[in-house]
Amino acid sequence: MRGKVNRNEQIFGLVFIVPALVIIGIFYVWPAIRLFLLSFTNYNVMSKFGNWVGFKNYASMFSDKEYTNSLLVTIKMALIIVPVQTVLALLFAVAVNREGRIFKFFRTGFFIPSITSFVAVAILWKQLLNPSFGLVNSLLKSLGLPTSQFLSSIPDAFYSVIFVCIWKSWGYFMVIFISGLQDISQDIRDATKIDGANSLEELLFITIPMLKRTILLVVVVTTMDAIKLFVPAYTMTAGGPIGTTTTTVYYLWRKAFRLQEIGSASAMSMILFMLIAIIVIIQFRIGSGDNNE
Amino acid sequence: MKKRIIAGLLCLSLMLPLFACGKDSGTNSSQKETGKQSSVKTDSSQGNDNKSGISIASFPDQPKSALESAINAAKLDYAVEIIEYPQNEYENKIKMAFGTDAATDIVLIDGPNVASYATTGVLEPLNSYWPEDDFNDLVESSKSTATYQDKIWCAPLNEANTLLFYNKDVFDELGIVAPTKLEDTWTFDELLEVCEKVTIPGERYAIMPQMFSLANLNEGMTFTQMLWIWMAGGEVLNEDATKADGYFNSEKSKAGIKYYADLFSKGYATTEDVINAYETGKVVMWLNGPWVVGNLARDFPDFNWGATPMPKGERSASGAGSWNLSIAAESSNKEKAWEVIHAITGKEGAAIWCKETGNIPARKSVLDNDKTYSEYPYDIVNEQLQNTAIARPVTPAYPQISEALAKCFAAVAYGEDVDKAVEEATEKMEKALSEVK
Amino acid sequence: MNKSKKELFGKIILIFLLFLVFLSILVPYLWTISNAFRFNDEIGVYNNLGVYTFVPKAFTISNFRRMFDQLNMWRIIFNTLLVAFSTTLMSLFINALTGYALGLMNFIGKKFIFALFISMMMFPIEVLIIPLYLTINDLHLNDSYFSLILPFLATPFGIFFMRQFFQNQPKSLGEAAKIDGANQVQIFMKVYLPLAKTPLMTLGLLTFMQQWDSFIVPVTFINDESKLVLQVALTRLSAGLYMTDYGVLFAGVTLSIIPILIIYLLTQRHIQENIAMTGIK
Repeated sequence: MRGKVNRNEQIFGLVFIVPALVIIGIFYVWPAIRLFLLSFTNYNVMSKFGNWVGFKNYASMFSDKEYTNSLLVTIKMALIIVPVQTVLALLFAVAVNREGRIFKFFRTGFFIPSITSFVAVAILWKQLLNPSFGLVNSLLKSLGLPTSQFLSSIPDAFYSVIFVCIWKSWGYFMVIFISGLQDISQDIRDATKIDGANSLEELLFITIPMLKRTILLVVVVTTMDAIKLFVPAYTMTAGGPIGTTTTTVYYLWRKAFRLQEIGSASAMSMILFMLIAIIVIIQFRIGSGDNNE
Repeated sequence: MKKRIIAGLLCLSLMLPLFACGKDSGTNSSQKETGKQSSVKTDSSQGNDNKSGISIASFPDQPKSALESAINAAKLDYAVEIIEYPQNEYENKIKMAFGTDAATDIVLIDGPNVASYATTGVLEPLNSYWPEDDFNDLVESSKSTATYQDKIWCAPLNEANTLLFYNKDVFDELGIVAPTKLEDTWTFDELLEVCEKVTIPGERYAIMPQMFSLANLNEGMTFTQMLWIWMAGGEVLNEDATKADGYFNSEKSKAGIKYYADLFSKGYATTEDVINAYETGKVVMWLNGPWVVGNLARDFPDFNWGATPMPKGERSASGAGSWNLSIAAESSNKEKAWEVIHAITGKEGAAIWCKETGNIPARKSVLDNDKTYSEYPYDIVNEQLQNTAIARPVTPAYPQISEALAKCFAAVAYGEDVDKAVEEATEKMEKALSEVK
Repeated sequence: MNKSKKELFGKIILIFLLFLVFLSILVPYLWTISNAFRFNDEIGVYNNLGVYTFVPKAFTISNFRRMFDQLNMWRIIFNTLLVAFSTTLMSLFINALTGYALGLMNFIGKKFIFALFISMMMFPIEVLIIPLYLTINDLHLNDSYFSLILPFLATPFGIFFMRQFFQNQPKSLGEAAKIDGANQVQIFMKVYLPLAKTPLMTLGLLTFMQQWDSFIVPVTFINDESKLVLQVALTRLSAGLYMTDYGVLFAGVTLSIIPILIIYLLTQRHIQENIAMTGIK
């Protein structure tokens, strides 16, 4: 790594990087700079023209109740999805990480929603939750439980969307946990068995500490996914009822492309970026703290 | 073994892009076979590229078949392609298309949005294409919709109005007789009584007081919800359409919104998202436009419907202003585009379109020539158009106004405090109006 | 004796619970797929968990026929596959090349470029969608396949992932090849790239799944009906406000589920192993 720089390598190194540099430059770096610039203008897509308006977009953003509501919705969703999904994925990873055909069968089965596209999952559940002909209400009725309007009632719509997100993704993270589990050497497990630890103790004191890095990774990825949610709001609820399921991405997307308020939507995206940056920094801190131990 | 399968898949994928180039013409021909893709009437030159034909942006609730009939009747010698976008997406899609210079030649535009499109310069004025005597065949309200800052921007597909549709079987069974004349129309109180009579809690709702279920957010919602404000004697904006404060949040406007909210809180209306709620008997009355007549005839021919004039609060009000055809400023084929517009909205085309969709014509000649338009329920429509119809405010900020209004109505339907919701909406409207000043 | 009985009992309970969870996945799929083969007036009628809840009473493929009438489905499937496959293949090559250069080669500016690439991970596509849309317009790429492919030909994650792999490969291999007269391109193509089969497979699967799933990009960039991709087409099927043809809607969802499900079941062990690899950093 720290060797002398050889001329031939210098040239080819740069040449090899050119394609990626061009792509990342045009489609990531420049848009990122542009996003920042746009957030200070009142650009209009149709007339392709905008004026510099200074911090106006940022100033008016937080008095926009729909925007603050959408931030709240997004954060609330993340706060529920991340822990529930992670715990579910971990528990089931431990449960199915065993020898035997039947467990292999479950591993295969639980992963199926992860390979189905989000749009298909969202439409599928929208129909299952349909109050008049959906299966869920019929099931509830036959079990003698109260039925619901689900996607058109408050707060059921909010929880329905969360449920669908978790239903789609937990299997994916289960697989990641399984690979983490398989890295824990059998010796350590056997040692705890001899110590007479029961399965709960093994989970709490051996498995979870050993999986720390994997858990961190899963938590970060899930949090990012939750912040980026767009499909369920678009496909299942159109953000309704009255904003209950309007995620920030959905709100700013509509603001930019339907109401043509590119400037304020860009400012809103900047906030989202900052949120993500904070998460990445926290991850980095925890991650590097780990290495020092 | 399985590695081989993946390797095979990858090989296949390697070849796909190669296929792609070679096969492009092939897919086109399969498009012809499977596809009713929407090319109407193609001539022999079948080039299939849009350059020789004319494209129209539309959405599914404007029946494609009726557009096609009108176009076919004109016997044009080039292809006309109708591209349908989903209704909730329609406005986004055409705005994006305008922004990317990818607009269709002809664009369907809702009346109150004409101003906002015209000011951004994406539309072609029609003055030089449209002979004046033919333009004067339009009814007055349509003329004013088409005109903004002394130029003509669009040709109306039809005029619009609103009626209170009802399920005749239910009314007959309960012995309710709905008025058919404007002067006998129900008052707000009488309407509540009817609602009370026809509601079966948890099973059947009395009224859908807006065009679609509340799960939707589009102009159709605003078009019908706005009426409750007007019927209660309120206003959305001042006369110049520059101010919402003092109008949208006036006591009278609020009374209208409160009345609407009460329909939900009393259990007469539902927030549930049911498709075809009216046609399947789940809802007895429906506030909507005369196109319902055409839709019912086509999709639910056995349904026994009736229509009654809009109810009366402080005053009478009914909707006006419908969808229009405009030429995109960037279209390379404006002459042909105008021919197509004229084919659809001219005397012959308008007659066909209105006949098939059940819409009320925007042309005097069509209204006079066809007896249907003086018979029930169009007699009510005509009477309302002359006496009670109110056009939506014309301002470049209309898209924001519309969105704020629809969200406000949805909020109160879900039980939010009327004062609070109205204040929030007024604030948003004021902000949008100040941006366009 | 007693202990093993207890263990067996525990195992049975566990399997039973897992089976219940499995049902919560299986039942929605079965219901959807069976509805795709029903006539419209039969949808939602047999919800009492009998045989007919999951098997159509009167079997029909008319829903699929109507779907192919309403939308040009062959074209849509073709578009989706074209975009997903070409993005996957080309991005694999570019990401591997870049990851190799950053991981195994020495040149000035390397650290800065790597840091630049990695920092772009903080800008997911959802955040950049507005300026990206404008940039696509400026390049006149709107309404083209390129708008769906080009921005994803090099991804910060892909570069990072490949660099991690190449970094751990011995430099001596390349040096040996050099002595044999290989140039830099040959060293990469002939020596190191073949070593990367497993990570490439993993990254390829991931990219393909992301492209298949991609929604906000095509829904924003594509207006032209002939470039429609499957996920956007699905939302079109449910878009009618006045009427929704539920049979067609279920047919569409089924069409998007089945092929990928079959591929998955055929190759599932590999897919799971490969996905798991992304967890190891």
